[in-house]
Amino acid sequence: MTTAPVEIEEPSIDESHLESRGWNVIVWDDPVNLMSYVVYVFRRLFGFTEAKATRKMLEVHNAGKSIVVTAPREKAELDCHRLHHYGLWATMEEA
Amino acid sequence: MRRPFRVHRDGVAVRLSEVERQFLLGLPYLLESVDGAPDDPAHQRLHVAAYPDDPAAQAEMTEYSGSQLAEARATDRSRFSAALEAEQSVLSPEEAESWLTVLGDTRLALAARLGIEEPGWEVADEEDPERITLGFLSYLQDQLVTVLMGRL
Repeated sequence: MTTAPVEIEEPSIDESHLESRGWNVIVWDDPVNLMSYVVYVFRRLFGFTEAKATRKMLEVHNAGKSIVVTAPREKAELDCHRLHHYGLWATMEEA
Repeated sequence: MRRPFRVHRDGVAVRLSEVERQFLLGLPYLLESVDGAPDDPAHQRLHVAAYPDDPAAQAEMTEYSGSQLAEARATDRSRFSAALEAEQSVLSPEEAESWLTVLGDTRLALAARLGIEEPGWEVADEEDPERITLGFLSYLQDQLVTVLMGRL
């Protein structure tokens, strides 16, 4: 189905605020989760290579946090939820 | 030294002493006691806010995913208990994953109750039975991670 084209007057909208860069999922350092476990979780959940997972884990460990995912909000929330299921300290932040 | 977990073609082979098996059977009960105690520091650690500075967004996320998290944990715990009760010698990949999160959640819960907030706790006061328990769970989780890492 289709409709014949109709000329309409486009309302003028300031769309600059719609340019979302998505949402970051941040993993924070905690003193309890094992380094080997955190590497495993990053690989298992996000398919990171061993090198990338290790780099991200060390960033969490040394800098206190790391952005592990940047995605549209719904996807980022799902990943945040999966990290919580695995016991990692993860929060959301607008990118 | 006898290792508790080994690579197996169908998943992960598990070998525990009877004392270890009996001890692990108690973990789901410990975690259940945390579920019903919102003021327990362990409860707070197992319910991390995705939006710590935005109560409205947090409430919405809890509404959508809070029950999913509870269900996922309940599944993990029942798989964990069932395998222990049946004295299974091999865990399927899904069961092994559930073991990993039950061991992990228990470590987080115990550490939160002990007030562990800084690194370096591993070597502190090795006479303390709760810390010995935590150390044993760390050993088991690390062993299981090693085996599962090999399957990726």
